[in-house]
Amino acid sequence: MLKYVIKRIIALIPVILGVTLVVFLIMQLAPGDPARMILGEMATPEEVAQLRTEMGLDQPVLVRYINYMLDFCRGDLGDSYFKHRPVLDEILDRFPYTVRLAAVAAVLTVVMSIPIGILAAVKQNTIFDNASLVVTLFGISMPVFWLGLLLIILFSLKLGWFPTGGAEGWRSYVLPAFCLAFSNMSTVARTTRSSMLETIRQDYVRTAAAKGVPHRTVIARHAFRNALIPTITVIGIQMSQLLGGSVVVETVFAWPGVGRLMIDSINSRDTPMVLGCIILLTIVFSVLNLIIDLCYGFVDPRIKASQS
Amino acid sequence: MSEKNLAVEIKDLVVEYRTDTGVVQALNHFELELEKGKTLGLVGETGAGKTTAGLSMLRLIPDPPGVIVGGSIKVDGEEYLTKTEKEMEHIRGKKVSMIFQDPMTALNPVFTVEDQIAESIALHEKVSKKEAIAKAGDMLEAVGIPRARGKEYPHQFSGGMKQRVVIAIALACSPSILIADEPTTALDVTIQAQVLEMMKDLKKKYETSLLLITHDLGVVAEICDDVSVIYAGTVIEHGSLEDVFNHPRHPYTEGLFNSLPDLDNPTAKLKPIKGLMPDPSNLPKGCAFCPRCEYAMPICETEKPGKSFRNEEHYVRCHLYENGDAKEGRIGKI
Amino acid sequence: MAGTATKVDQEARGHAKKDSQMADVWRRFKRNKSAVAGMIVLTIILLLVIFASAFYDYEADAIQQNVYERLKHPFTEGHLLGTDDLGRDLAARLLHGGRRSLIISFVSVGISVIAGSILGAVAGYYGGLIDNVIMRCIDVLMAIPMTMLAIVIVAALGANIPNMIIALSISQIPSFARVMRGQVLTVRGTEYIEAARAIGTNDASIIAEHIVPNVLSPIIVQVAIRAATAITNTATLSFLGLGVSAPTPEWGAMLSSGRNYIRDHSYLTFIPGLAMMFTILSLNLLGDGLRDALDPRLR
Repeated sequence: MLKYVIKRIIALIPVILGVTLVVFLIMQLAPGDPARMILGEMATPEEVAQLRTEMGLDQPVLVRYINYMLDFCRGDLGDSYFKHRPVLDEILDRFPYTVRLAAVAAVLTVVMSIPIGILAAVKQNTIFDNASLVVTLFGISMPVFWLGLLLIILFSLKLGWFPTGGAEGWRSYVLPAFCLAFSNMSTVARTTRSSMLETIRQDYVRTAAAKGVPHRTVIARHAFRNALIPTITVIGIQMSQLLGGSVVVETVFAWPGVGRLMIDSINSRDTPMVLGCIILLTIVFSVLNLIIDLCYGFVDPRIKASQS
Repeated sequence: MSEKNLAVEIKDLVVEYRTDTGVVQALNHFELELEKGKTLGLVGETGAGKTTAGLSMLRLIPDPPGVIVGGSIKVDGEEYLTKTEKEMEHIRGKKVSMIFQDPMTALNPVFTVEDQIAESIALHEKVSKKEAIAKAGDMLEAVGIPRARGKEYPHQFSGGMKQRVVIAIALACSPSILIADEPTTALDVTIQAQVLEMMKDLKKKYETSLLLITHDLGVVAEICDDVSVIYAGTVIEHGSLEDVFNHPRHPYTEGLFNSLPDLDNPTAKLKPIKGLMPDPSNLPKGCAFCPRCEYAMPICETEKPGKSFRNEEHYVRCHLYENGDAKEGRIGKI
Repeated sequence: MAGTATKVDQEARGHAKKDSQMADVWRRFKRNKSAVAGMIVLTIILLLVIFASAFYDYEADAIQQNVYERLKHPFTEGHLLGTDDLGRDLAARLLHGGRRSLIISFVSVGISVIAGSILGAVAGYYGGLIDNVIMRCIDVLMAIPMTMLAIVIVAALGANIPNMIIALSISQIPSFARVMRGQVLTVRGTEYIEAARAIGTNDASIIAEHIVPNVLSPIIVQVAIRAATAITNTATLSFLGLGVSAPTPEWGAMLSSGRNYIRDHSYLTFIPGLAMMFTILSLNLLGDGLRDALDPRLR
């Protein structure tokens, strides 16, 4: 098991190298000269040229990438162009907000979706099943930012129950977390439903019933544990949505997290900051995927065997 | 007729599968008698309703789409069709057990095999989890698997071993009736013989009555006392093994034997039954076998045949014998 | 002569078989009420958007500002859906904006399905080193959450329609490549491909005649689902200020500017979002329906 984890972590290294290279190269395509942007329109060409040399901008892209990665390994992600502080410090200030919001949304997703999915499958073709299908259909079809704005209109402006934005007190979590969770919730609930429907028909479920196991136990113990495998896969895929969505939700709800930092930095052309944000979010994403893969092992002994 | 000591008596059982595309008649006035301690072979083609018959005894027909329309299933004199779901839970695995066709899919992949055996024991016998596991180990040994392997998962077992586990689950609470649905079909021939031999021994040891569902006449000859032949949801011939094998009366039964290679006369041509089973959602009005029957008469198309008895036990449902000549037999003479 | 006759015969039979397959799919699809509803709604939306100019003139109604007509609420005379903060007819902007939203989404899906399928098919069919190289690149792209990848690409290239299409295409390629590769791997191992190889059929015809028809269904389903995601992502980019720029109408951009009037003129937020949701909803219904109709085993 431990060996498998180490192997997977080592396998992450080339992926992260690849991601940084890709993002680094993409960011090079951005028009405009960073030195000129920092110094402003009034600076002389000599001043700009000098800053370029100081920043190493006159070196070839590949050399700059290697330097960036060497610094990266030392925990140095460079300095922000405009905030006059190290990128890493700024990101680490913002990171807890993103984690808290995403964690609340993730818990909300799992706690809501799995029971709904199971109930819908067990009560297939009933009112509950149909209602859950309709609600989840809207869930997967509503753009996150639109849902966010609707929530603000209804619950903040009309009813005044929750703040329109910011991150102060538990109230400020309710709308953004629900907004972030709703579409994921819908997808996971739908997958849970269909995989439950699939497993309920399996021979081993019939075997369990033939043993005299009560219906509820058959569902909860025999069917559900097997249905979890596709559900976990989808939860893994939804992690990407959760992180991507957090960029949007943080913007809508003025949430001081990494996602919003990234958008602000894009708008101000703060390349090192953008690079830092995206690399961090990618690492988080990869680690989450690793955790998901390990979860398979706990659920399914066949996968566990291949992991050890 | 002499008093028979019946473990199972099914009469007039009608089961339908109702889907959007139509109603499938799975069992049509199906009847069955299994004597205590004996083995009855239920023989027929795929789709004849054999598995449905087994499942209805446990009331495990998938619903929807399956519906038990009418009839009676009595086990040791108790009517099962009127029992509540709760009562059936106490019967399943305890009084009546079932072994399913495909051992590859019959075991839950995420639990150890001893857990799966012990679950049944813990449910039906008042024992602790530990005792249940210990007894599961005994059961594993009884089916020829070392106790220590109980900690393993189904995917670590071969097909034959899995079927042994399935049998261990079914016999864990020493049920008085065991339904075995094609227990050896999915296995290699050599393993088949081993499993059959083992089932024979265990049946004796636990004094179980066995309903063996199969399409394999060789298996029937091996372990059955009586045979019922089922076609399109109806038993068309029933008798002792000797009666049915040596004096087959129904043209379909005859056809089944003619489809087997004859070891004494290897150059003889096989005579397969022509055609296919009728569409079960649209059965013929008269005898269901009529469209494939060599001896079909006008009456066969319009009327369902009744029982004609050859002796106290052996009967056939065929218009050929309605003049009381079931004793001599007619097929082959016409 | 006899030889040709049989060949023609076979071809005719082949066509008949294909026709009946299509008919089967269509019959199953028709039975699915919600999928048919999705198809109808989508068709209506597409027609409205395609013939937007028949209802509203682009320059006069969707672009031209009119201070006297500012922020008229829906159902006021002359403006079915009201007007925006610059006095432009909202319905006109909705239809002309939908045109851009849908063009960007569909074109990007079109590009990524072609590129992704080719990459996936080549990787799956040839395996070995080619597979390894392609899939490692795909892995890297997959390691970045899709929306973020699109954001970064547009941020670097600059916010305009062609760049949006490029960004969305690139971010969608991995999912198509994955699906295609998985399908090809499954089909490649089957006996009929072995048989085709054994009689010396060349790679190109094996791919064209045996593999493509067999992997088509999951790709078609994936296209419907991805088109829905692409509409969301297009709007997301615009909403974040990384899409089309004013005064060009586009659903996400309309939402973004409507957001400033959210307190008193919430219809500016509500209506473009509703249009978006109905489009996505009908695509999802259509996708689900196609999946069930193309592969009845999945249900």
